[in-house]
Amino acid sequence: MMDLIRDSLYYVGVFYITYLILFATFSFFAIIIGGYKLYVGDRILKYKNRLDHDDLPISVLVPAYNESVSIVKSIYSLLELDYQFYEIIVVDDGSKDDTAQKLIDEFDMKLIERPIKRDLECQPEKAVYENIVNGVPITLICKVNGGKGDALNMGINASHYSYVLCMDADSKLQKDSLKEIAAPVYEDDAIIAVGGMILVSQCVQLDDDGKTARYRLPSNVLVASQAVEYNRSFLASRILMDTFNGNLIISGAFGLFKKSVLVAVGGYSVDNMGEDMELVIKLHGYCRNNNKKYQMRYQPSAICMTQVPTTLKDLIMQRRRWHIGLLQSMLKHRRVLLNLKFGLVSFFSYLYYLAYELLAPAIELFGIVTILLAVYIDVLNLEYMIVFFIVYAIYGAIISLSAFSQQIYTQKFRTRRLDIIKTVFVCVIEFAFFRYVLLVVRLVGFIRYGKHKNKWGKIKRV
Amino acid sequence: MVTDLRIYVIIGIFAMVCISMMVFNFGIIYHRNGNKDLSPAKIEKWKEIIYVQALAPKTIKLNERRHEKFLLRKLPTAEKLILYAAALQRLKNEFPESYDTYAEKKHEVFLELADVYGRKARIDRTCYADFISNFPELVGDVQGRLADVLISYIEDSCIYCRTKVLSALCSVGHFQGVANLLQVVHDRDLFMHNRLLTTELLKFRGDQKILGELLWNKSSSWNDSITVSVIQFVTRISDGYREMLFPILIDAAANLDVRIAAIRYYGEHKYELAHQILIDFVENPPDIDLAIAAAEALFLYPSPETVAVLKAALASPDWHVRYNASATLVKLGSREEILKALEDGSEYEKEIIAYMLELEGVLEGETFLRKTEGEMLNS
Repeated sequence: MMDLIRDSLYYVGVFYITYLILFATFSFFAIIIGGYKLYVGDRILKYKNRLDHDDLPISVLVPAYNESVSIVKSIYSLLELDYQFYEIIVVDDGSKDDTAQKLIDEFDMKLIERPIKRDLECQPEKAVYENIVNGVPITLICKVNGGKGDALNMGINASHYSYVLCMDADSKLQKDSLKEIAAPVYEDDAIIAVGGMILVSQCVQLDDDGKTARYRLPSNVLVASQAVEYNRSFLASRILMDTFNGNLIISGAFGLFKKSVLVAVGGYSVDNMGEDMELVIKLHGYCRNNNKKYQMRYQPSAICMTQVPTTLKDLIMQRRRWHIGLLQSMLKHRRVLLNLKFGLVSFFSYLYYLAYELLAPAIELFGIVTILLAVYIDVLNLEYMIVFFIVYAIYGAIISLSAFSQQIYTQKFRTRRLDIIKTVFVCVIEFAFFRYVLLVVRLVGFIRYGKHKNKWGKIKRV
Repeated sequence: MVTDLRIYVIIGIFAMVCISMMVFNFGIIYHRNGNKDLSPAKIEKWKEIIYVQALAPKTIKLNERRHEKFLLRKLPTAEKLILYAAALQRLKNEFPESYDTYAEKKHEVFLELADVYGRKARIDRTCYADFISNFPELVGDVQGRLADVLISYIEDSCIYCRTKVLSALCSVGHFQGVANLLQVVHDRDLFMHNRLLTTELLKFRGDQKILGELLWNKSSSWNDSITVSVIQFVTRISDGYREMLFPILIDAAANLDVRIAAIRYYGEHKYELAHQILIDFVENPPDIDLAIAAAEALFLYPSPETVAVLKAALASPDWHVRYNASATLVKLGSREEILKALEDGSEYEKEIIAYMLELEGVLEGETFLRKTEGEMLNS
């Protein structure tokens, strides 16, 4: 019996070593390719190899739910965008606070009987307000509560232009972000979606031109760890997957879409907590099943800033929502798995998300249980395990630090030496501890899943 | 044990590469931080060199040939070209006349540099084309020869390169160069977004009408996307294409986007023969997109028939047709017809018209809708 357990533990060990080495290899290539692409992008900008056009009309959709604290500020920042041709559509999804009233008062919005076409199904509107501020048309639609996806569908219905930009009400766009995110559309006829880079707003200071100028990790370790995590994701893995058109997610906080394709796929799902990911997988499916030439691009030079949770409670809520959304999206589109028609989207991206995102909490929990069992029956090489953990944590920290350095270099942020020392510390903390916090968070995410589905994920704004 | 060692080696190699990258990145960061004023200083240095040449009193004899040799030696490096451009821009802003005189003497230098950049990578070629688009005066009377060189840039090109070459050709105002470039874009089936193409054409520094004629004459042999751009371009610059575009308008086999561009032309430049066609498009649309465009274009053709067809279009099953028809009706200002539409119309007709009237500021929304329920005829 003991031999059987020992043999089993050996194979479990081999599985975990393989699992971790594959992840290390993924991170390695992600950071190398990300670094190379960012370097090329930087040269392209330096050598004036860019399309400086701002005449692609864009409808900016801002779904809002109880955003009274931040909505006015957000709209003011949108009005200052360095772009010629855009409209702003705020969809108030039945807020319980005075989100709509604040907008009506601040921007002198006029009640108007506006008919809205129904390309996509969504909850009905209660009132529509319009005004033009600084030459930018603003529409406020107050509707019956239906969730974020539903609010975005309403925004798509009401939009006048062929491209829609979906963002969060608390996000702030860099002044040139519309120009940057629209650039790929001019470059390739097949572009149907473009995702931008998300920075943690608590880390960023803007200069007078509305561009991010200074990047500094805050002293709140939770926020700092999330910033490091965002960097790794947006400056490495997304760029890697972008090389083969394989991104499975365009953040709901900042993404540009071709409206006709959104309508063709039925818009956002209203019964999914990860509507942004679900939409992207759906777009892959639609285009591949209909043999349509398509590209979904990631544009790191298009920058959006978003607030991340500052308390563990908010973080738990957010990550629970994300993880359930991931589960729902992957289950719904399970046919993508090992499907030749989807190429690398299936055999790389989908598998990655399955193994290293969705199943990671279960796999890691199983690993911890195995370690405890191995300790109990005294078959664990403790010294090896500790050394391996330390090496792995240092490696992870180096990866994070590389992403950080790439960000500073390509975005031309100003930093101080103290920031870099702090970052080194946070990178270690993040890889050695924060990810285990997230593991627990994601594990408990499934608990009471039914109770929270279709609800807006709200965090406390600061 | 051997397996363990291999794992450490693999992770160690990975880590070493990442550390090198990190060191490289941080090296650049520190280099930048430590040399904050380096670029302005370099620009200043270039400025001195240029200003000596451009602003020297006529009594002083300058060694121009030496300056030209210096430029030919230094400027083949894109980074130096960028610094030179920044310094030259200052001269252009501060002393426009001296800049013109300076530029006039440098035509051959920049023609030669164009050749040099033609042998470089596309990122450098793009950079040079961008430079020329900003300083077209530097190639004044050699623009014909330059155009040929610039067009050769789009061999193995990217979209940035194509756009910057077009921009440079428009900037120097070379008609044939622009036409030749579009021919190459067509021949090689290269992608250029038609909105981008139109925007660049509208920046043409020269007689745009002559360019329009040249492009129009060739457009029939080009792909539909370029043709759309040419029609959009002539729409903005001339009313002289009314007869020429008419065959496209009535050609059922013509590309839809091209026909829509033609409809928009007639929405800007009135042509009586097009009136009936536009009405037909709204009444019996062969394609709904034609009806949408025609409903908007009919604004230029006020007549009872136009109003009647637009009023009927308010009941179209297509939202965009209703939207454009109502917008045009309101712009035409046929108030009686509008009120009639509200009296007899369906809910759809009423709501779209009410919205347009509100937008136009004709009536307040609430008041207007209340009137439709009883008081409308008395108003």
